[in-house]
Amino acid sequence: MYNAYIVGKNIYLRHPTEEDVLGKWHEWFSDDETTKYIGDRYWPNSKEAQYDFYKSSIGGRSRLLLSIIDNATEKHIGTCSLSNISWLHRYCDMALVIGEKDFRSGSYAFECCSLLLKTAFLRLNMKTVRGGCVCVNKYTEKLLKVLRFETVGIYKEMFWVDGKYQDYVISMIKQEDWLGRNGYTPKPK
Amino acid sequence: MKEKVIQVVSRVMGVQVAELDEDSSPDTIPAWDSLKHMNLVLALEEDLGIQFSDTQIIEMSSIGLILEILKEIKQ
Repeated sequence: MYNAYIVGKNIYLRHPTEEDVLGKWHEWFSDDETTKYIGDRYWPNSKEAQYDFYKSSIGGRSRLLLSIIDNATEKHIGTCSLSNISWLHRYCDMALVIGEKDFRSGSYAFECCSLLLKTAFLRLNMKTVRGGCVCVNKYTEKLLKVLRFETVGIYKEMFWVDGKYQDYVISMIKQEDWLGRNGYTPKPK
Repeated sequence: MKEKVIQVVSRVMGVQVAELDEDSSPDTIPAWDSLKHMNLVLALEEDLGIQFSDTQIIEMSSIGLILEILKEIKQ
């Protein structure tokens, strides 16, 4: 386990490394299936562009970019972030991509979200985490529901997916609700 | 409780009750994919009137483990 930031049962999250850039990271964001539900990933990615993105992740405090590492194999399987962090209003946006297709079954994505929320609410003291998904992305829709994200709005026909404009569902979770459900404080009424 | 859980798993996974036991898991039931797992969590919470923590959801990788977690919750 190298430079672990937060550790879960099956995965851990750490700061990205140059070795991550030299691996398959950039290929995930060129792949049509992987980027299908991601808003602005319609252009081919490159190792150079990925390196620039990696460099931009160093030093800033408005985006926490983390690599997802499989505990058993130390394989870099995806990337995740808390972005648009507002230190004044204490909110941020949660996002993740499991790039390695062999790791899309099981609970890797759920566990990653769980670790991100734990980081946001316990370590960074965020009050609100925002999420969302294209309405046809059924897995993420259910994932957010299980995590107790509350739907707060819909951007009608916002995203072009499979030849149709699809709605984008906006959701959020509050710190107090997450703390209560995960046994850190008495459950909210 | 075991019968109830098996009924919920059967309904969500589309598998006959007779095919399920405590060892049933994503490794033994091909239909038990990541989307169905989320559906299963929601169905168990609704049918049993409980709420799982994130850690419990990550742990529930077989019917036997679901039953152990339910035992913990009831205590």
